[in-house]
Amino acid sequence: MPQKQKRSPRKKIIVFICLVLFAAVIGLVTIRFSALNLAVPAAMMVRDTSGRLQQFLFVPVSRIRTLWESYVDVREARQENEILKARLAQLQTEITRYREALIENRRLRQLLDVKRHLNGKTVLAHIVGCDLAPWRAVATIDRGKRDGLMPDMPVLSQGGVIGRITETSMSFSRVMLITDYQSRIAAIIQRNRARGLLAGHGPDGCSLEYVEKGVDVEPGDIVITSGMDAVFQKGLLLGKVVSVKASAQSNLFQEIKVEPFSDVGKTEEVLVLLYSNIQGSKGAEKP
Amino acid sequence: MAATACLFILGYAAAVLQSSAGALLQVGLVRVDALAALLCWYSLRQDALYGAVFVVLFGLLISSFSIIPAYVFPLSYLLGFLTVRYIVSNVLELSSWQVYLMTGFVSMEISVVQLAGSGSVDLVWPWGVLQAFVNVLTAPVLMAVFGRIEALLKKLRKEKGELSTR
Repeated sequence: MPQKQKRSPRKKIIVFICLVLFAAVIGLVTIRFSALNLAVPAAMMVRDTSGRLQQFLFVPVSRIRTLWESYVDVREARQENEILKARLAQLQTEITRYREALIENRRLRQLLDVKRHLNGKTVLAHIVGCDLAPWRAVATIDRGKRDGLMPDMPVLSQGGVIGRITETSMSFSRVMLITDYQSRIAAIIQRNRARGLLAGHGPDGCSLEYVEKGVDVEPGDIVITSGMDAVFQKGLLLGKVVSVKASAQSNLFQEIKVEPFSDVGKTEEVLVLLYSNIQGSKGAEKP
Repeated sequence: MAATACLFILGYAAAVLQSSAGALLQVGLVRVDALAALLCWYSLRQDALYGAVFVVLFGLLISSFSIIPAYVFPLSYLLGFLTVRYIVSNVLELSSWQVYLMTGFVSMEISVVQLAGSGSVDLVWPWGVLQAFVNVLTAPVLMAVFGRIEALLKKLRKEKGELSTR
């Protein structure tokens, strides 16, 4: 077994002195001798060295901490953003529904106003479809024989007459709109009672036909039903004259273009009068 | 049989769609119409007599979606069918672009018969012609869809047959 080497007394003394000096430095740094100003240079030296170390370590550590915090913030923000987006979509749907209800309410109120001016029973119906042939201005409504509907019953919208029923089944009916190429309605001009026939022209609206050349017709004149066709009662609103053109000399009649009061393409709800050919209406003279 | 099933199922679906969302698919008096392309597609696959009967029945079904007289749709579709059969019997092979052009020609024929039959013959120009033009443009897409659905129906039928033999 090797014999343990003994340290020399001189070395022991050096180690002891070093330890004492180190303890003294630590002690001077930690214990303030500000009044004696003994520890100031050593403490400053230690602080400077430590400061440099701290500075060297603090910046990257703080950067890492900031980066981590940012990451956590972004994650939270993203989650929050998703929740808010979902909420926004939900609210948007609700707003659309309320707006839709509001618009429907307005339309129904207008229809109610129309109803107040009419004699007899009416049925509210919704437009659910159109004709398969694109050149026919025909709408399908969700009321039929079961609701008392029959062919030739007048159909009205907020603006006035929109058409008449042509076919019915138990739950649905077809309405020939006033803009259909085959629609003809006996009409008069409200101002001077001049008679004519309101003819449909598809997307071009309507025209008032068979009004003689001498008759005074002006743009803005109101056209109403005359009640002579045994379908529509007298005085229902049809449309407004938008232009009057003197046709060729050989033609006996004027070319009168009429814009229907009913917005044929945008109407969603209609009123069906559960009778036809009844004379008189409270709203006859009302534009 | 799969083609006939396609004619009735897809035709009915197209008629419902066109008559409920027609306003969205319409500009002026022209509408995206799948029925003319469907008729051409079917006519290319059927024998004259057998197919003619189904085409007339199909026309009657479709006429329930319109106010125009009930005989107009069967008549126009029958004429369209016979035209396609006549062309097919006189050529060796039709390439795709010729099929699409033929769809336009048959659409024109259908439009003329339907417009004349419903008392609006003066609308043939320009609306009938424009409708035929739109049908030519939509034919490639529609015919590809019809082909896919027919293949699917055949596959389903085959699988069903295999199951029943087991």
